[in-house]
Amino acid sequence: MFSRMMKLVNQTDSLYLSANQQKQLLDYGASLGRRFAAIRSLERQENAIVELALQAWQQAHAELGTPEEFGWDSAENDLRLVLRSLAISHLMDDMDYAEARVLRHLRRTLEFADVPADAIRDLFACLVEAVREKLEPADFSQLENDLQRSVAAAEAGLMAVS
Amino acid sequence: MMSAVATEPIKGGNFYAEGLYCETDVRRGVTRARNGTRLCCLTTDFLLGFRRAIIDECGPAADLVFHSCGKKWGAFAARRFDQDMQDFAGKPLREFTMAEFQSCLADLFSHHGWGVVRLDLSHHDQGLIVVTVSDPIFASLSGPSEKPVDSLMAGVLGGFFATLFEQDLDCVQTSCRARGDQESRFVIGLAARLAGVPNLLAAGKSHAQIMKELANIRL
Repeated sequence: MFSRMMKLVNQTDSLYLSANQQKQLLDYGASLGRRFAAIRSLERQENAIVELALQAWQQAHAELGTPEEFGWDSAENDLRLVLRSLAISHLMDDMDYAEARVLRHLRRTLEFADVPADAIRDLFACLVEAVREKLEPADFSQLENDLQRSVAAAEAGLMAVS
Repeated sequence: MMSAVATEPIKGGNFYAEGLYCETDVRRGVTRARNGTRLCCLTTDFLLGFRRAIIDECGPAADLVFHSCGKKWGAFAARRFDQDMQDFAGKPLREFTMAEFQSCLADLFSHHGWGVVRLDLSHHDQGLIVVTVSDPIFASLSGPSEKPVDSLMAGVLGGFFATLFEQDLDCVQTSCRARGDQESRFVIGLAARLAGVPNLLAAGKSHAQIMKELANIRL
């Protein structure tokens, strides 16, 4: 797992930072305030987002029953962990962190619980929509790309299955 | 009912997450997992040399030796896995749902380079678990073979599940990529039930045929 800064360092390959690399680093540094603000907002809304996302997902996939019924006892905790991991990923500009820490593991857990691939994808989509609903537009916009990447990762799993 | 607040740590996720699971102290030349276990990487060259040496030294008994090594190793690995999961997830392994258990098991094997493990529990009523392993280690190294080549992995799985379930379980490999099968599959069950499988394999039976034979065995 390489954070943005380590990737830059490795790209230098013993040279000083190029003008383009310096600009990337400065731009990233300048974005930290916005990143922190969006994450603080996410933190304040964590309960509401998880509740809303789970409700929406269960309504959309009522055929599955409750998470406990199909073997996903830790649904609420796992979604909290997803949000927190995505927050750290956003801060570090490194989606690999969330993928390694929980996203791949959660997709696998749901797959082993016989949750259909499209429902797994929908879970992440519901999470994004819940964040959209609960956060101020500017905060959501700040996080949106990284949130959508969690849906895309689940979508890729869906494509691999079909 | 939502209970956690954002200031509380959350148990769960992937214990073996890249970047978190192991750390190398290069000055000492020591790599340790987050639980303190020492790790080392084994290269293709080492594994091929190890495999050839055992086959050369043990001849026809080589598969038995690999299986036995794997079984002991699998028993240790199961105890470690049980403890790690309990510490990490905050609940004993026996309280995991089957989906959670399978996901953690897949994480364990995939992060150590043993391929991705999937359990097929559809033969549970016959006391059998089928394990599919994508890209198991020896099948990827040994080249084409007339018989399954991952007896070490079969031993690991047998020892692992025997220890976790505290039963006299064993494991045999019933299909193998090196033999031209589409997947490498292993069957876990009571040792007495699986005793005849080597003869079935020697007679050229497929995985499906072996499963059919096993279903007819009454103990």
